[in-house]
Amino acid sequence: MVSAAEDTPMAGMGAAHRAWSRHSPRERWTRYAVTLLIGLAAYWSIYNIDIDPEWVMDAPVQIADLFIRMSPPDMSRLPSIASAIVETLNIATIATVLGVLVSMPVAWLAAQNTTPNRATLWLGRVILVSSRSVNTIIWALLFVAIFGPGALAGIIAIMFRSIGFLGKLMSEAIEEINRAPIEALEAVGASRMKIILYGIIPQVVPTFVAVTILRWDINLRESTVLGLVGAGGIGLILQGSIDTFAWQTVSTILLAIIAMVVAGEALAAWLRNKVM
Amino acid sequence: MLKISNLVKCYGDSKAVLSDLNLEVPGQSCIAIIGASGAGKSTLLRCINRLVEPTSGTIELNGVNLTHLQGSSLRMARRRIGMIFQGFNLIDRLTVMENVLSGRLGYVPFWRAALRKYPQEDIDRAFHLMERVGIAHYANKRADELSGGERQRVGVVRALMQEPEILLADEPTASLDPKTSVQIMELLRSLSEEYRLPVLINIHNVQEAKEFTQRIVGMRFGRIIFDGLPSDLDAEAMDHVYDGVPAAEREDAQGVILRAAAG
Repeated sequence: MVSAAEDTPMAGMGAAHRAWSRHSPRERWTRYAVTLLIGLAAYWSIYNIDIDPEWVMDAPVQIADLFIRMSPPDMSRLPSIASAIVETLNIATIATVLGVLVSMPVAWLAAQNTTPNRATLWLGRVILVSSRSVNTIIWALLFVAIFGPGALAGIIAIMFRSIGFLGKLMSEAIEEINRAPIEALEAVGASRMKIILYGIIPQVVPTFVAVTILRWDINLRESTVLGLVGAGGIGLILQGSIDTFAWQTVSTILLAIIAMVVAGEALAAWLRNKVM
Repeated sequence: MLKISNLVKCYGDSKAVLSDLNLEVPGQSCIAIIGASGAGKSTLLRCINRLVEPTSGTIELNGVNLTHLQGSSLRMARRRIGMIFQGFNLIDRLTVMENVLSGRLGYVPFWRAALRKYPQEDIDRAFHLMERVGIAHYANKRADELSGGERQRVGVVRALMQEPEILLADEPTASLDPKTSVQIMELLRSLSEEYRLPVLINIHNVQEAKEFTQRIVGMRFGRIIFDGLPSDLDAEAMDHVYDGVPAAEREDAQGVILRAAAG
């Protein structure tokens, strides 16, 4: 048996030592260089933002201190907080409704299969991109300057930000419709508007509803910070309480915001199930 | 009467899909158009209602030249041409009744269509036709809840709602099982007689074509190479239409398909 094994090709193994490595030397050095570069970049950025180590060391103490000052939550201002929560809800809801109304024609312009021509396609896309590339808070700063402080500026700001989000997703829904029913309606002699009414709208309704609920959910959270720039809602009294070091009121406000957002999310989830 | 003269259709610069095609359909008749895939059957039907733009030639329906119509006059012409599709092409999320009434979209004003306030005579006509084909009890069901055969009946009724002067059926039975497909062919034949309509049916199933139609048109490479009675379509003519596929082999294939569908 032993002599038979020596005759097999396996017997020659180990005679020649062949080198193997996962990377060639060139690849290896490239990897070292890239790692070094990432390390340098990380060091440079931390160095650049100028973190004061004393503040970092101090943080746990500060957190504990703030927590003590914040508790127990001060319930005495609950009525005014509740009415601010209602205002926040109203801002989010009205802005979502307006956003949906405005974004529908924009979606129609920005969808390749419904837009009248190339110029309108680009017009639609420019509206979507400019709405999306500006943050809600920046829109709010702008509209506070125009309309003055208050809920109106907040509503318009959230609406402007929503148009891009809603319009983009809706125009994609329009582009993904099934062509077959459209062909049938063309064959029937239906005009463009009737084809939109019977062929396109029924196909995109589920997506439109889902996207609207999602955006309302997002707007609810965004409208809580509008007050920081004076555009109405719960953020306004939050800012005021922080400025006056009324920490016990601040904690009540934060709890109220959490309660509202959780309730809103639950409602959105329920609606989604109901509609789908 | 439908009169197609010297019809040519080319997509881009490629070879013509339809080349110098002539066809006359005088009055009421049920006509099958057969031919291998790519022979141009579907393009021919779609040229008639201008879903596909012909490159040259003329198509006349009851004295009206359809080939140069634009805008609203094209829509006016289309509303008198009913079309039935292989994939039914219904609007799934609308009810059967709404799908049926969409056959009137060429006639009713926009506000009526939007508010679903159709004239009473349209509603009467819809119920009458749905009863005729046996789907009236589905009127308020969503179209996507129906079976294939029922969906195709909705498609047929939608076309009839147009008060058409001609029906075009593009592979109306290709998505259906053998039994349902026979029922639909029977329905098309009897409707053709009832409403004195010319009906053009693109069809792959030669057996059904022979059984249910009065005239068979065979197409190959964008031309009509057979035009005659079903009884004239013998083995030789079939070979001619379907090119190099020998008759025996084709029948075998047909048998396999039928057995597979039945089993």
